[in-house]
Amino acid sequence: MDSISGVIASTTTFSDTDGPGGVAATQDSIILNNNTTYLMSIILLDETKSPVDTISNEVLDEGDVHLFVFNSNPSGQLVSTITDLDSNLKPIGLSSILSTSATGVGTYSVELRHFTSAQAKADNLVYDTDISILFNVRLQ
Amino acid sequence: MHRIVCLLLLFFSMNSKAQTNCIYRIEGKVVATLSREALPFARVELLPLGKTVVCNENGEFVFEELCLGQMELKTYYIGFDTLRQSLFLEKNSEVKLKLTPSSKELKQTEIVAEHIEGKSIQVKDSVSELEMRKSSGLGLTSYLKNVTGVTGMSTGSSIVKPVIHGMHSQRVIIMNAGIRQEGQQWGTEHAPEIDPYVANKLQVIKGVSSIQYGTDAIAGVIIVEPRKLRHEPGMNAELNVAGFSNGRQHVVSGLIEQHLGKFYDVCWRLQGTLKRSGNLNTPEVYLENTGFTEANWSASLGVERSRFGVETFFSQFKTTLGIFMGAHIGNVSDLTRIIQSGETITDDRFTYEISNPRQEILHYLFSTKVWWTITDVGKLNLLYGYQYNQRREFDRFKPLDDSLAALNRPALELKLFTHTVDLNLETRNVMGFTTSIGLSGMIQDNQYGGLRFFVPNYQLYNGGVYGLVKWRKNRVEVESGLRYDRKAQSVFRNIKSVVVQNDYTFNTLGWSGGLIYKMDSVISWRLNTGRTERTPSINEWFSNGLHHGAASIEIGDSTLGLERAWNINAVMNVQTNKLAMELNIFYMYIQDYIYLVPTTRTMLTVNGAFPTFAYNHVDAAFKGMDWSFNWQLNPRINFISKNSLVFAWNFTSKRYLELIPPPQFDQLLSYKFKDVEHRKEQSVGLSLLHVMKQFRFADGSDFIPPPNAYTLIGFEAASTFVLKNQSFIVGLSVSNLLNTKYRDYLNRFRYYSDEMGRNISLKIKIPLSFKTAEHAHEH
Repeated sequence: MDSISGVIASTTTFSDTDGPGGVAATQDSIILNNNTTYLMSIILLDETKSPVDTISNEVLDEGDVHLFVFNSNPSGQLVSTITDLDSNLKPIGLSSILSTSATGVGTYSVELRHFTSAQAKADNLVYDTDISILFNVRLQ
Repeated sequence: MHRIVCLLLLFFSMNSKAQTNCIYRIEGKVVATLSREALPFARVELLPLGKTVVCNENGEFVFEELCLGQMELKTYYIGFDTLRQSLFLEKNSEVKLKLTPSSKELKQTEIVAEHIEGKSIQVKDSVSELEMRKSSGLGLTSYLKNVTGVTGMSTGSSIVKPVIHGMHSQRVIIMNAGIRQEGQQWGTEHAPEIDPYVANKLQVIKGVSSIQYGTDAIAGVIIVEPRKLRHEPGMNAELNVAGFSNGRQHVVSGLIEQHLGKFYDVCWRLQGTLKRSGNLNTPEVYLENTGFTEANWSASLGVERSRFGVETFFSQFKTTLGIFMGAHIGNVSDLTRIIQSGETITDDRFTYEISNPRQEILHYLFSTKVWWTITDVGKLNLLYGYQYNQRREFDRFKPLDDSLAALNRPALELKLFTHTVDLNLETRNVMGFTTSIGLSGMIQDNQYGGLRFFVPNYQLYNGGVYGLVKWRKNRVEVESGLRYDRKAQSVFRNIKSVVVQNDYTFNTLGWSGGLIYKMDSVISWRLNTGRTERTPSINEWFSNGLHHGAASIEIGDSTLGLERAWNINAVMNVQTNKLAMELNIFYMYIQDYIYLVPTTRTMLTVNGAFPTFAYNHVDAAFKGMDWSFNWQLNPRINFISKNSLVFAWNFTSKRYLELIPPPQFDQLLSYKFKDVEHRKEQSVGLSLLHVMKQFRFADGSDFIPPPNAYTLIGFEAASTFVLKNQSFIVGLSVSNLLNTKYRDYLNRFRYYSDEMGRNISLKIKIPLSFKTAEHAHEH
């Protein structure tokens, strides 16, 4: 499947519907084609609500204090370039371009940082980590 | 390790003597002027301490453990004029108090009831009048830390809980105005909701020797006693102000009280305290969002006749506490990032503003006490109490969901409603025996709200029955007590939108025994032993979730059963004219000690992986000693030393228990100046506190090893200025004089910041008395 075709190429999910404690979380691996460029979108849902609440919309609204940070191991296996910007023209990370390298396995971490202010985001200093997930990766 | 043992031994040899602050006694006899006959059961009040004793059948009385200084004895007897007699106490004294028959027509002769509440055998330590004055403006735990063996468990600098011999929270009962204080006391970041200015007496009973207050007091009992209402006609007031350089904190507390006159026997009091502090500072930086405010008030109304009395009391405690911004973390990697950088993350500026994260706490306490004296039987007390505790905790960030954020709801909200009833009969002394028997009941309702779940709703019913017998003859005193409780608790949990109810019933039994042997006028021995059982608290059963500040997942276990403790302690007390010392050695074995055990699992959440701790039973032992002494070298120089050691061992996994206070040694040397006109009670003092590093902890139980040892130096000066019959008691003190940088093992924020730096404080106490016509003619 080619990149940026408008077709969902792959979906990877992390789910922990009852929050910390209780029932264990479930998560998928990221399985993608090698040497391909993808458009990556992140959708955050609160599935304890009915109807389900789309948290990523609020992250977008508060884009000036939020930032996604992606890390690939081995480095360069997955290369992310953030495409969306907040009101101060700083990256957010709900949308990004993801380039895969040669066939192989590795890990990919997704972190969402919640800063105390827009200035803190500029300095990348005082923040809480709202999300921190490590996915297994297989490029085939 | 070898070096440490040597160091300890050194301290032993230096301080193998030990306690109590004040060493003098006044013995006396109350007689009628003309007939020279003794006046049995006359009432003698010692001012300015406000201590009251009732004479024995021979008109004799004793006041013990008194400090050097100016005193006044006020003696009351039906049909006689009240006598005031001053004396300056600098040695043990004997006095004869001669009362003149009242010229007024006698009412029908009334017999003043014998005061039964004798000196108990329990290892009961009081915070002295002087220590209370020095602690003015601080929180309750700072007052209690004056008692050897009591330390503090803190969350930042403004939230501090008392720790007795290494145990705290649900294992410590606080009796406030005769009622068991019921807040969410299981939480380590939940400080007691009590204004120390309400109290004029603070006592600590260590260990299982205090069975009448409840079987769950494994660590001990703290007794907060509001001052007694006036019992003679007149009116007086008191104003306390205090200012602190750190946090630019200021405190105002005042009270006014009145006795409406002999024919009404009605007395009332109003009391209130306001406190405000801004951001506190370490030796280097201001800590962002560490200010707090407090607004407390209380009112009492009482009627006292010779045979019965009624007293009602109401108090409000209200506080808003900022939680240090740099201590809020989202996950373990945030914590390790802070620890590795070694930096304190803060906006280094001063402000009084308090933002999120913060706690808002409101506590109401209402009590009514009724007592009757029944001839030939004793005294019957009935006590009813109602408490409402509301705790709201706000997170740093509002929820992402706009509709929820707009409601500005706290992340955690808990409401606790408690009714208590106690009925107690104290019998009069018959052949050396006195007994105290009682029934107590409690109904409690817990409701949770807020966005985050921590503990569920529950309803609790508790009924208890107890009896204590005391026998006294010559040099020996023996006491024994037994208490049985039955507790029924219904817990309501919302599991996938279905309310699930679980019912639990527990029976607990506790007993205690004590023995005092007075070898001679100098040495006395006390031995206490006890066994008790505690039911698990709600968090030990049902907490299930992320403990934010601690970056860990805590999982309760609803199958946990009773915790059983055996305790023994031996106390040696030496009292001479110049030296008072106390040595207390204790050992406690706890079977099925409920404890957060680290598990090897980490739990995966959307915030990352967290280490998981599960509540579990282990067998544990706490042992140690407190020793203290007060040495009056000469009338001017006084040396006080207070030291404590506690070790805690987990038998089940054969390792030390975590978060046990390290050994500490506290010394105070003071010098008293000669009184001059307009200035009395002038003194200066220098204190030295050394807290060792805790080497006794289990590896892997914490993110970082315990902080290093530290030594703090303090300075204090005090004086009483007298201007036209009005006295002003002024105290100046400096804590952490050298602005030492240190961290404390029992502070949960030790990962994030240093402790408070130098703090200079000024405290002024102004007692005011208003003379009324009726009052004046007593002279």
